[in-house]
Amino acid sequence: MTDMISSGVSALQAYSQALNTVSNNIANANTVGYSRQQATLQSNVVGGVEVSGIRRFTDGLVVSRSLSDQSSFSRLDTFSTMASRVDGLLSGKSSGLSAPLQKFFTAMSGVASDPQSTSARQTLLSAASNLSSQFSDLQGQLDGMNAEINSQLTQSVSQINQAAQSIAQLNNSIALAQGSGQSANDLLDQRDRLITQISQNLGISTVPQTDGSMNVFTAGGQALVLGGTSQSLKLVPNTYGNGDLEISIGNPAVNINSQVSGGVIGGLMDVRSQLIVPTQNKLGAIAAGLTQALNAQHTQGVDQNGQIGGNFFATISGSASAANTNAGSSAVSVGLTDVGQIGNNNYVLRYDGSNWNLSDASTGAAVTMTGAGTASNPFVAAGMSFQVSGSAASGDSFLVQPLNHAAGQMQVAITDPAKIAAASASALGTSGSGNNGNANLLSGIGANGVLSGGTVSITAANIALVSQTGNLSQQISTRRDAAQAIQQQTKSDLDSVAGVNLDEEAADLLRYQQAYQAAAQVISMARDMFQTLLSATRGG
Amino acid sequence: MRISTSAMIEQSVRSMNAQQNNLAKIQSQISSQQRMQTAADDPAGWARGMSLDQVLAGISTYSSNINTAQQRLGLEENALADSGNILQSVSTLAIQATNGSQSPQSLQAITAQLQQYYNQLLSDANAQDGEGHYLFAGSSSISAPFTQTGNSVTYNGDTSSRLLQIGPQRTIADGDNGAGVFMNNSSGNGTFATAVSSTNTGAAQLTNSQVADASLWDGGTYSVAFTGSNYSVTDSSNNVIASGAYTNGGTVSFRGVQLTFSGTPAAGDSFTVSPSASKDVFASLRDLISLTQNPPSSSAQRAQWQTQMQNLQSEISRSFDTVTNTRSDVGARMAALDDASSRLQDQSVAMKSLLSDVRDLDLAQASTELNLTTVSLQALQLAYTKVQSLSLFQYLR
Repeated sequence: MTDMISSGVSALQAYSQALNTVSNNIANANTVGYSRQQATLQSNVVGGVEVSGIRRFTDGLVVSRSLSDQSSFSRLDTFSTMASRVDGLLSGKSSGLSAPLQKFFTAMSGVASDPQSTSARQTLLSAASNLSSQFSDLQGQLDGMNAEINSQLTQSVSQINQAAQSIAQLNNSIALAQGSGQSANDLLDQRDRLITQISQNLGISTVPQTDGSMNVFTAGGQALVLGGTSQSLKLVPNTYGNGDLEISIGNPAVNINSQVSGGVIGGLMDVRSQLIVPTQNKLGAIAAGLTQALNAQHTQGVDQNGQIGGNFFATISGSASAANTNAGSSAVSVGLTDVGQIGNNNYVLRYDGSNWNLSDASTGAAVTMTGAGTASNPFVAAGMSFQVSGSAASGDSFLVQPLNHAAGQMQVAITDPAKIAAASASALGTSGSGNNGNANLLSGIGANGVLSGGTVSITAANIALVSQTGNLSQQISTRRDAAQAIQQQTKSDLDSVAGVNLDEEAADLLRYQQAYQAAAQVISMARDMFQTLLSATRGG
Repeated sequence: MRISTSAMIEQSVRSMNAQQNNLAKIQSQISSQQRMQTAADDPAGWARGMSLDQVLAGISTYSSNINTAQQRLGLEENALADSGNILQSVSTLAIQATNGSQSPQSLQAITAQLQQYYNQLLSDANAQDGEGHYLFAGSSSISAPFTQTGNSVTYNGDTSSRLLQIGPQRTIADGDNGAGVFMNNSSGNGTFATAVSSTNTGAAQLTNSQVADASLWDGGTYSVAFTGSNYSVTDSSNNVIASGAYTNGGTVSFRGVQLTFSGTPAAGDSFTVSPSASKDVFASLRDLISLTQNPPSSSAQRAQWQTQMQNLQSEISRSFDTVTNTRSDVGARMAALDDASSRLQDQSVAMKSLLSDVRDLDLAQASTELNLTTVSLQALQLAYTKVQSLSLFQYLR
């Protein structure tokens, strides 16, 4: 009978623990990252039952798959959000270039049809200044997005660093708990959540260790967490100080910007290199191309004072940023001699101690230059001219961005309507001429081949820019949706193992409750039997 | 497969979310009546729309240039028609004046009338469009092209004309400069002018002068002198190049020139033939007026008067031709503008319908989609409430 009582008591204990587990499951039915737990029962060698452990339902493979799914989704989600913003900006009726471009050329034909009308000339100047401010607004918006990228990078990096630190601490606690045979289930859940958080921000891989700790590496192989220690990511300014922040790790810092991929950070890098920079370059090409072609024609004409026309738009120049490692005092100014030859590339101009060399910034391919780099004989290459001043030290270099900031420089150079050179050169010396020869040519410039070696017109380039950005946005958004579907599939795979089903828990609740009642009944029955025995011996 | 409770809820919420997204999209399509909201909705279609916009903007520029040109040419046509009528009336008056039966009074009336016509022609030449531009000033149309100083009229405009773009590769002149229309005439018959020596005493007059063979005319100055019943033609170096007997009403020919004389010349009478000099229509009119003001009083004077009259008539008639030719040229240009305009209109209609195909929303389709989406969202919501009420816990009471 003592056996009955002790096995009954063991059952009471075991089932109350099982019921505890069930109620914990029910309580956490909606907790993100919670893995379902179940008390494992086993029979006791001396009779009765005991809880041998609390099992945590999970699947290591699905978990690591969900990490990479999370990374690729976050990356595309970040990219897609930005791409649709740029798309909206360029396609917008009020924010895009089409309307002001059209108005500008319409106003130019207005001058052609009535070259002596001051109001037609004034309308042209207003349309031109409207066009140039639209260019600088767009440049400003894109620059703003670049600044946003930096601040989002800062956020992501600080999240990653905090999470990595917590993971290292959890690794210690988990190793300790598992070493002493305690359940570390909730710690494991917590660690998985933190790892998921990192994977949201950055592509990572995880390697479980035998002591229960988890090592975390970036996609490029740098360790973020090794057992109980973690390494922080840092943001450092770009070598050429153009404002872009880059990722580095460890002490001394190693720049791993080119090796990171995936997650919000990977997405931001994509936005910078595939969206913002190309868009700025194309926009710059349109601005610089229009400026160049219009000025070339405008300076062929004659204004209302009978003089040869000046520049209609202010001259646009390229930018050259010095590397922060430059030891010399040299500076470089970049002139745009033929926008049609420039293309969308950036270049690096480097001094090797005796010569300046130009190479493509992304491919590193050398570009041949002619000239001497002086004001009278500048270096000339790929539609640009470079003038070097000061003295350079060997190894000094400059990042040349010919068109990146061009759109922001667009400005009307004329304020006096009379200075619009609408007349052709035959009217030289005639003031107040009604000749419209040059205005006719100027109003046709939008359709002339100006860019890409003279094959693409300004209006065609604008259409191409808008549709290319639209295409990119559409393509990324499709890929984002696909990544989301995959991520959801993986999540539901994981949920089917680790998620809590309340019906199931209700059934377990009933099952364990009945077993508990039965065990209590066993004890009460044992007591009755004992009483029966006692009364039988007393009576005898 | 096990399905966790939270996954089930998430799944339903996600589906409802997706349908609500669709609803929002259809709603913005319907409210804007446009199939695409940004280029990302259909990059190729969007680009096509932009190209069509470009073409339409060009069409509207060309159409507005055509309107401007039509307006200016229409006004020019009026002015030219009026000038033509004036010159025709002037010719008639000149013929009337030549008629020997005119009394000094009727010549005076003719003079007054000619003076009126002179002023009217000058005002036609300085005609303006509604915006204050002078029609016959070439391209410098803001100041009056013709000004009268003393007895002569000077042209202040230029000799160009403004070309307006009415097609991608097509321009049309929106006017004609006054130099070509009014100033570019010459004295005599355009090849040579004749003059009568003021010392002539005979009654012989020149009734007709014409170019019989233009290839023989060398642009020299010749003198036809009469001695008795003979004539002789000498060049500027006094070499006799032709001579013969003169008959009343007969012709004298030399160097491709054919002159017809009538009346009897006195010995020593002479006529000069010299190359035409540049002379504008106003100068011809002015000369005509001074002729009618000073009628001849002797038969010798009459002979000289008639010869001058004959020269002036030929000048006026050629001015009339110039004006008429310009007018028909303007007419041809206006017809071309009409053609171009209707072609542009056709093109514009075609482009707009293409653009509508590319951009506009198919409302029937959109409202069908709206219905479908609403129905499926409602179904989802119903399913959600049904599924959520299913729980084993409901039976554990």
